Amino acid sequence: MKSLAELQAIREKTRLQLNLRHESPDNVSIKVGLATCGIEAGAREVICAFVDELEKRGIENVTVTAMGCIDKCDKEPVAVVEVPGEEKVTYVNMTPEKAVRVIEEHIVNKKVVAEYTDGATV
Amino acid sequence: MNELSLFVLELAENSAEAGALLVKAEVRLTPESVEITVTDDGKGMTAEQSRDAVNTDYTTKLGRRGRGLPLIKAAAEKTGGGLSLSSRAKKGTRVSVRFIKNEYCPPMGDINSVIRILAICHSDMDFRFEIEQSGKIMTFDTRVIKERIAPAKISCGGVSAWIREYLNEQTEFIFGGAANEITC
Ligand SMILES: Nc1ncnc2c1ncn2[C@@H]1O[C@H](COP(=O)(O)OP(=O)(O)O)[C@@H](O)[C@H]1O
Ligand code: FES
Ligand SMILES: [Mg+2]
Repeated sequence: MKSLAELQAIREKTRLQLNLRHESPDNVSIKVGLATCGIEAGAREVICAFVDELEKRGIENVTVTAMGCIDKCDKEPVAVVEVPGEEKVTYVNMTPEKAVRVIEEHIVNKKVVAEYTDGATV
Repeated sequence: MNELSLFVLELAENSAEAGALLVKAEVRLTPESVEITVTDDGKGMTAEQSRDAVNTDYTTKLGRRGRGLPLIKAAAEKTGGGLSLSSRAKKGTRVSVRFIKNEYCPPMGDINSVIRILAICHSDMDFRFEIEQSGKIMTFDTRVIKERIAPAKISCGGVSAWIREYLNEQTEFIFGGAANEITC
């Protein structure tokens, strides 16, 4: 049975990590469209894939948030990735598999996955 | 969007977009019906707006919007149930949806993922979930979690893993052998 006491243990562990790492200023942001179109197209699964992959790799400087509509109905699920100091990248027609690859290549290896971006000819 | 859990997500996103700080969602299952109630403290609606919101493609947002509430209402009515909304401007909104269990009632779907991504993707808001089935109740409250882990964030890896396991255990307890249907 999961207990709340375990959460306190996680806090202690995280506190140590925070002390070691200071405040990590270069926060990367991933925003996923969670308006009706996004939900219908599978945004829940895409967000889960992002969150699970970050958790698996122990990546802590990336925040995944929900955004409203950016008027790309037929290209949902849409994910906007913003790395500080770089132009933001809009990925379209996302799937859980694509999300894993975006973490691997864009977040970890710092290389935009051009073929998943809006306007790319596949 | 034919899953009860996705309706919960749509309603909670409406609350988030209305600037709510606290969203309470209740899902009550009986042998005859499923009742979903989402209550928020967002900006609310006037009487006129409330009427429009459920009946037409009314929207206050950009894009091809305004389909959420009508879609949920239609799904509920197809089972013989319905949707009711009560709201007060500047106070908040409550949406109750009742589904009768029959061949038209959509499956629950992955409610655990819905709860987890709401908690993580809206870390500046609080959520309280209550799921009840034949007397068994599970609760999930981000306020309780945040109190235990501060200053760590609810989105940090260890916490997100804890949430996943906690929800899996709880829904297994609630739904017993049918847990596969609702977990990741
Ligand atoms: N919880 C809420 N609080 C305040 N206003 C709401 C809420 N839910 C819905 N509304 C209003 O009703 C409208 C219609 O909602 P909906 O049918 O879900 O479509 P959409 O969210 O795409 O606009 C919204 O644009 C908003 O103005
Ligand atoms: S209305 Fe379709 S993505 Fe916004
Ligand atoms: Mg909506």
